[in-house]
Amino acid sequence: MMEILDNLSGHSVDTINIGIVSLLKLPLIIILFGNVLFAILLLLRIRILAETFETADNKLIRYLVRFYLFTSVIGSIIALLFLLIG
Amino acid sequence: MAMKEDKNKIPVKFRKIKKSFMETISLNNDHSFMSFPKELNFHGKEKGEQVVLIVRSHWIVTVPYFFLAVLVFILPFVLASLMPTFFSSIALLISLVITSVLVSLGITVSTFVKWFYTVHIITDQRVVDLDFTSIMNHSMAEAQLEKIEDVTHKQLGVIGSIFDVGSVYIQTAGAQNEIEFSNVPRPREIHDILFDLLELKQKGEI
Repeated sequence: MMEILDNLSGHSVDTINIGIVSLLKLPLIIILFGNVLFAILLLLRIRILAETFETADNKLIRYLVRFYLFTSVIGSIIALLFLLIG
Repeated sequence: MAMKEDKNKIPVKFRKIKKSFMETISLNNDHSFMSFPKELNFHGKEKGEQVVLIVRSHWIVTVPYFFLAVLVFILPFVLASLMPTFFSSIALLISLVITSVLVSLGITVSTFVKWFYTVHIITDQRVVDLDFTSIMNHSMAEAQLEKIEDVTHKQLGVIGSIFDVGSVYIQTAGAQNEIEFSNVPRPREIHDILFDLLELKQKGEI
């Protein structure tokens, strides 16, 4: 009788753990997509701002934001792959 | 990144001007307080219009955002040490670390871009205020020097006193909103520059 009860409690704990891990994956996926979207919007915004305020340093800003967008896309793909494995 | 005073960069029409601001404007220039910048253009700049000063927020204002980026970066490691059973899956921990790195990079880059494009320009004809308020919008306000009615500056708190940071408020004539230079370095000097330029404009010397 006790064994049955132990098994029951063990199973229920596992189920809760799996549920929490799965729940954590969803916000991570949303954050990753949001980050890429943010990088795209930032790139579009600086295109307008670079025309509004022109300096020699605009190129540096453009390279920085492109690097951020590139890193976000590649990093998000890798993170998603790990999420699918995990 | 303070630069030495460079007398050659002062435009010809400003070299003969005997005003108090001319003695200090070229001293200790950096990217937050840059006098007579070269290779600078902005939307609506007239031919022959001379940019006297460009001002950005003091770097100290960005420090909380960089702290936030560091906090986000170390968050997965803190969570993993506090709840080791929860992060028993290495794959999940790696994806969390990558996410935190990307988010902290996003905070750092956006803070820098926001600082760079929130710029206040003082020319010999007008004052231009470009504000990068958020990722979705920015605003640009300008006022002719003749329309300036009042200039005030405020320097608040310990940080303001230590780093000489404050805000400059420019009240203009008509229904136009007040132009605000927030958290800028050397607010007293900006105040002085604006008043001297206004005086020079009224006398027709610039």
